[in-house]
Amino acid sequence: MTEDRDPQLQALFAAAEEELDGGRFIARTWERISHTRAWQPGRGAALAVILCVALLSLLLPGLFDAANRALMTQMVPLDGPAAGFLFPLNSLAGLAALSFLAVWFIYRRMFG
Amino acid sequence: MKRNSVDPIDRKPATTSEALLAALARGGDSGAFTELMRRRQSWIRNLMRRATGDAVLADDLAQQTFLQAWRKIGGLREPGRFGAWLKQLAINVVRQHLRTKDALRSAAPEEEINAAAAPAPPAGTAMDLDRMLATLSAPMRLCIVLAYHEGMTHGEIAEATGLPTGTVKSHIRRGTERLRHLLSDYRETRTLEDFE
Repeated sequence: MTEDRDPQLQALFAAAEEELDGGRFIARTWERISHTRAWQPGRGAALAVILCVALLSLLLPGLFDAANRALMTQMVPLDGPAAGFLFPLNSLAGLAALSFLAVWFIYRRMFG
Repeated sequence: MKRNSVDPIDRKPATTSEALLAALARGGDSGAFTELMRRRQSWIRNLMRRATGDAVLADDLAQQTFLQAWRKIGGLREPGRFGAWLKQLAINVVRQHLRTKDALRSAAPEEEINAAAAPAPPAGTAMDLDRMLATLSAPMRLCIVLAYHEGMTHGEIAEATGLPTGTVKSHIRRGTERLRHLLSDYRETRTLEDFE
């Protein structure tokens, strides 16, 4: 190494080098790795669902429309502003989303 | 790649070669990866500390580096080059961090702005050095750290950071001048304080 290096600065960098204890750092790193791993199946499942929906809409548009209508079905028939306000929860799509979140929560509690 | 569920505390002997450990880790041996982390954590954390000047942020970036290493080690072709591979991952993590701060693309070539506002130097060589490094712009600081901490050549730094070689040379030359100047000021101050 001969490129414009100042020996005093090199000595300063060398002196600043500390031997750091790694126990806690390594434990924290494994925690983060485990946390990331716990999310991987969820990401895979979400990707698979998106791909399936995209394929369904392209290959079987009739079936896709029917599924879409079914998911938008209200579980408890409501009218007026309340119907729109509660729609995210009061539909088969909402039920499916809540079920997915419940399964995901249980999975995280067991394996996360 | 499926990872073996080996207890991370299951340490490999300190004499086991790094290439062998990397090869084992590549196959999913978490005990081997733990030993690699134990050997390399101090180096990577020191590199991050010099590059960022913030111990907490440095540890966060070092953890990100090892997290990526564990995720990507299955693709490591030459286990004997684990150190060089890990260093490139670390540099990429720093660059990614700087990109999010939009620091590498900063229009101002020299952000020698922190010198006047910087707090009084705390005790310790590392803290003094970090305070001086804080007066450099982010890309200049990265080039200086890679040159002096890692001993990398201009070409290697250019390749690792994606900066043009001419820019790297310029950053190192001007960064060195700046640090040399600060170092001489600092020594004069220390001498006066000692005298008083």
